[in-house]
Amino acid sequence: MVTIAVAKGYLLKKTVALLCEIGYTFPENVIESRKLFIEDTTQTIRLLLIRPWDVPVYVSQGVADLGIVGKDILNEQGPAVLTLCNLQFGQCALVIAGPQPISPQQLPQHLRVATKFTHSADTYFKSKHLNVKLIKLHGAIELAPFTGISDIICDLTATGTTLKENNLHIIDTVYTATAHLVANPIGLRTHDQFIRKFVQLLAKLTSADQK
Amino acid sequence: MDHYLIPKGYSDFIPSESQQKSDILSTLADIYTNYQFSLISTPTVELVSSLETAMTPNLLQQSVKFRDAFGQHVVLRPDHTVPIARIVASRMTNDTLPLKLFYQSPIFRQPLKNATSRDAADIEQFQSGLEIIGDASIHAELSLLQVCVSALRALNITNIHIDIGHTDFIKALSPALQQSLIEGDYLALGYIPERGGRHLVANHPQLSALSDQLEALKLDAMVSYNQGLVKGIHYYTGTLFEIYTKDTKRVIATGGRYDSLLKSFGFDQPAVGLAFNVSELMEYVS
Repeated sequence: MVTIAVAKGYLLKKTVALLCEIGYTFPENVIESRKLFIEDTTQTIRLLLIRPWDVPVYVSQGVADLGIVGKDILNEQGPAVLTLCNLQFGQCALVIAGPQPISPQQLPQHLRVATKFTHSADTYFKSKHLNVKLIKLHGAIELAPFTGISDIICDLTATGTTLKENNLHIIDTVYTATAHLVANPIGLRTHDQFIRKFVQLLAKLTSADQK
Repeated sequence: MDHYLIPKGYSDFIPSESQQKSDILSTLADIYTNYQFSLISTPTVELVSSLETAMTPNLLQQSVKFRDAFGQHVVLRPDHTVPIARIVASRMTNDTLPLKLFYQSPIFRQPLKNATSRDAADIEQFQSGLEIIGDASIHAELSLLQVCVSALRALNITNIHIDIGHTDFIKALSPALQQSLIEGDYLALGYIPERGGRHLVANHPQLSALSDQLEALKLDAMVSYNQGLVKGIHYYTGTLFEIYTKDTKRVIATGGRYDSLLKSFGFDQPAVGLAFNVSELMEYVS
């Protein structure tokens, strides 16, 4: 059986839909289930339903052969996994946003930046030769400038709605990201044929979605 | 109690744990000796100036460096291959070739400064391994793999598999694609590298010769040829090996050929080596 670590949250629905589309059925509603793992009816794949930030860890440690997770988290963590396929869904962007509608060139030195993505933010500001103070938060990042914890934020956005509601303007885009399929290097060798076929099926579907 | 702490990346071993480790090391040493390998020891601390030209930029960056009491810039042994190359080139040039050497000591490596992977890692890592110096033929690779299989059998580690790669597999790729391959970004590479049986190496004289020999020794069932097997450390010049178990999905030994390393110490000899990660072996043998 091939074990797939799947990110709970906004990627899960589309992930399950994609797996169903390539022919897997599950004995219960995966989205509503409170179980932590679910096998498909043919017992070919087992899904581990875990937090997005833990998916790369499960895969790099070899507990899962495959993982489905956002490119943003892969960029942030740089795990020792193989990237096999861009699944195209779950489009979002990591952006720099603040209360003033300024351009990236207008960013002053010594800003305080609230973010969950400290590595990505650090890389971005270094590339712009800006000295900043990063403040790590785990949620409600948009609240930080309003409360005075930080001057600006570096956070994910899909539609920009939450930013607008909090009177924040996008200053720059660090990167855009979609869901990706990753593999443990030895998991790939252990289930070589299966995974190649699996990637082919997914690639066919996701490229069809693109058109 | 603060004075119970030890530095991050290092471990204590109380008698029961130490016994397990020394049992493994003595089993390995017996096997190595049966195959006529001789023990070589290098100092824990080396001069940066002696090793830096032979070390790849990655290895140099990962090594633990400091000033000693004499103000000299020194490095904790970051691998065994480079110090052994230094000793062989300085003190063993008149010995009969090929030299068959083994070592059983820790190496010290810290995570790369700009590494994005922040997995907790040991800085002190126990290694037990082998070097064959002065044999350019595939025979050297074959005997390392034989010793490796015998050693794992002696340790009762089963379900092992060997992936064999070659630097020739990636020579035709552009530097950018080589980098994608090294990073495991098969999306950027555009395909999943081929992996399989001897048909993959039919046009590679060296590897098909190795494949024939492995078949004759009935080891072929545990071997796959892997065009995606590459390493971060760039001194390899030919075959590469990775030995792992499918049960745990952990690599337990790695190695390969590095024919240009000894030349950087002024003794132009081919060489091939293989090292067991003793901490990984301890996970299996209990």
